[in-house]
Amino acid sequence: MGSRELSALLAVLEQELERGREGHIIGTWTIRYEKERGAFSFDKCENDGYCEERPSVLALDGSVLDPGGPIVIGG
Amino acid sequence: MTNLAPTLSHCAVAVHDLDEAVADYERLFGLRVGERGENPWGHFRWAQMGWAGEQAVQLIQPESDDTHVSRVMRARATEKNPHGEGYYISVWTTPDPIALAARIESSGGRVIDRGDGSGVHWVHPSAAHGAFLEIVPQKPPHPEETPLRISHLGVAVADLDEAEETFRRRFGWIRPSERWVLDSGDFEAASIFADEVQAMTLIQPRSPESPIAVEMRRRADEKNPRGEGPHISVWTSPDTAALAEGIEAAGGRVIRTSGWPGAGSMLIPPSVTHGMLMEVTPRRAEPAR
Repeated sequence: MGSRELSALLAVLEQELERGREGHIIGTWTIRYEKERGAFSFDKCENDGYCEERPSVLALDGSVLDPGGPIVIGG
Repeated sequence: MTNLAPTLSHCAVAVHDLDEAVADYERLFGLRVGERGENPWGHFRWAQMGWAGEQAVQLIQPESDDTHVSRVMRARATEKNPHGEGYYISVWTTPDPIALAARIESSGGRVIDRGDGSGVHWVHPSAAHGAFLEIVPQKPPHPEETPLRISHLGVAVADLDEAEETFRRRFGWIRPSERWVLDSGDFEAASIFADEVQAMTLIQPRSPESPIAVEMRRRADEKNPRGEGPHISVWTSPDTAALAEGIEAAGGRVIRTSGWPGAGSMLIPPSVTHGMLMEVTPRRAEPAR
């Protein structure tokens, strides 16, 4: 990440922390920058193998591309 | 003839720091400490926790680095779970643990008598597809409604046919309904019961890429080459929404899974529970246990 992306990450973190429990990043273990999507992926996988959740994905401008959520859904 | 099929009483969770874990379970779930003690066979300290005098969960901390509990913990330690906390043993009640132990043994399973005349036996993980179990005499059911009650275990197995047969012969658990498939989890499952009470969900990955398969590969070792064993503990609650609110208000995290297995269900990740993945579903009317 360059300075633009790092600044954006800082803003996204502050924005989400202000949302408290309604934020999308609590529980994150790994933050990854996806250059092609221009977005940050907040990975909450805990077991390395078995992940309960798909990552939350937020764009550089802070918009939510994917709020994340349980992987195991539907029957 | 007495039905020996055991039903689940509670689980023991191996933790790194007993006092810290007790405080976390109190804060997050509103549990209260009952008895505390030291186990002379397993060389661990324990704290019994419940809401109304019942035992909902037992937290255990090994007393040295050279115990079975500490070896189990070391083997599963990862970056995100550096002390390898989590499931250690589940305790099952049956009308006649001595007769059940004899049945398990006669079908080729290994059991260990605690040897104090109590009837308590341990069932070696090799006899139960990777799950370390304890069988104890039946107690009267606890009458009070509690915010959480353990229902059954989800156990990852390599072959559903084989596992169903093992648990039927050794424990008397049967599958009364069809198996089911969960595409998003890439696994097939079989629910097995003691009479009308669910004992386990057996979970078989459908491909090497299944998250269950990945977990099993990580767990596999010389003694458990297929990496079978407990994957999740499933609980019921009369008010899952209030429970989730309480956990979050206390600084914990839940994953709401409204689509499956039913409205109001949730997962509680291992980082919140000292290593034990929990699923909580709304409590329906259940047969007496």
